[in-house]
Amino acid sequence: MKYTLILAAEDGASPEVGSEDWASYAAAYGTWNKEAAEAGIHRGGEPVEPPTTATTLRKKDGKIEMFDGPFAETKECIIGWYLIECEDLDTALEWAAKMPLVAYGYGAVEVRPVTDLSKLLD
Amino acid sequence: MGSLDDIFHAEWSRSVAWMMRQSGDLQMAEDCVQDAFVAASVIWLRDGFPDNPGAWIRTVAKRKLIDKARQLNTVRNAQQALAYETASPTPEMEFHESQDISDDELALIFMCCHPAISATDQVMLTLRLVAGLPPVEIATAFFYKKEAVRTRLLRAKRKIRDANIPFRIPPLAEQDRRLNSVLAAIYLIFNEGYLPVRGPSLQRRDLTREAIRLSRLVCTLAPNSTESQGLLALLLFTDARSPARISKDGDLVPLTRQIRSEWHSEQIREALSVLEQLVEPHKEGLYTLQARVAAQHAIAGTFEDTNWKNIVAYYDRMMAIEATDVIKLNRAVALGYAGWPDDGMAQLEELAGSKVALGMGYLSAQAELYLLSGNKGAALQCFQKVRDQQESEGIRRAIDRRIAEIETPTDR
Repeated sequence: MKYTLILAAEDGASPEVGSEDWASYAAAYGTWNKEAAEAGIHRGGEPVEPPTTATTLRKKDGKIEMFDGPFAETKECIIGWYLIECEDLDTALEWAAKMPLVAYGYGAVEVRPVTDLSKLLD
Repeated sequence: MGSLDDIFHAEWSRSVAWMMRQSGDLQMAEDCVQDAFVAASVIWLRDGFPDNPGAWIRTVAKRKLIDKARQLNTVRNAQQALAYETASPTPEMEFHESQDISDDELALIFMCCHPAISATDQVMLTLRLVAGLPPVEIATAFFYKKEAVRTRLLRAKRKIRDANIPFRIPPLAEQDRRLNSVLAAIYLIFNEGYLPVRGPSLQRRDLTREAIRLSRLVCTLAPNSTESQGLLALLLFTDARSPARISKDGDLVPLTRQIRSEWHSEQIREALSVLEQLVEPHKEGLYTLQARVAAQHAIAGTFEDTNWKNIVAYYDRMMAIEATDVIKLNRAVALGYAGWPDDGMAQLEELAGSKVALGMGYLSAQAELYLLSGNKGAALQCFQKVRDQQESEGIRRAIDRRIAEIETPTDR
């Protein structure tokens, strides 16, 4: 079973890049990645640039319009994602709880099961 | 042999749990067991009750599962299905009761009360899948629209399926924490019955009874959980006061004025013995400690005889576990009755500005403490404020009586 972990945080919640706090925080991601890989559940993941860099497309009156910014203006913004594959929700929640973003208290992780397309076609 | 109703209560959750193990799908499990009980209500009334009604229900439910699976064209094992169809012995002979059906039942309860499901949905799932209440009864109990309940249940069951919430008893390290959400759901059900937030009635015995039944079930299924036993004792003590809690005129009677001989003495005895036989008394949590407080009330001949110093000690122990505002509030009142109204006031002042301070409980506590420290005028002012904020006629009348009593004291 695959789960997407969507990482969200408020702007400026995590320590400044290069600071001492940042060093340990970044190292924690290294540990998480390593442990997840060893457990055989890591299927990918990337951080993303802040919402100020986002471009959103939406069709309106038959025309595709382009907006500068994210699809939804929220206080917490998506800052990255992971894809994991594991037994069940409990296991996914365990890995989400260990995610440095949550463990350090800098933001939130949303756990979403990935749609199984093969079942969809049943 | 019990009635169909007794059998339903005894076999519903066991059957749903067993069918969940068989089918791996909660909706399917529920539908099949539902169908089996519908069949039973017709066939049993015609032919008489079978020797083993539970086995009968589960056998028929399993057949329904195979029928439905075939209709959906997703039979995993078509041969097995065929074997069921061609052989047609009596249901009693087909079904072999598995030993771990109780484990399945506990797993079902854990699944319904999974922390990834909202508290409201946990309550609804538990009432539907464990207690067997039809959605329309859940809707009546909580003053929801019938359709809203159906939609919520459906959505919650889909989340369990699509997010793959596991059907199992959680690992030992997790069990206490997970059991706490189960107990919280049962406690919510009880409170909805005991202190209905909505609706005209002051108590709903159907819900309190259901909560006690669920609480007993958890004690049986998880015999090593001290807090489960604590919750059962708490619910029994609290429910035992029901007959004295509502006056003939339909008003709420406060603990101070309840006629204690009207309390269910047998239920109190049971609760006391549950408390005496806790598996691991040192593992007491908030439910057990609340039960110990309730026990102090239960064994006191009159309100005046209550051992408030013991009660304060129990609140101290609760504070050591979790110093919530509600516990602080109750502790403040207990301090007052124990003869330390000034300490009670000090405790209350700590709560000023918190959410609790906006509620009725805070004002009532303040009123009682003023009274206990001899400041009648301030007490009356508080009671008046509480009264004006009440929406329930019954409670308002009860406060009026209390006010009259303070203004012209008589013997109780």
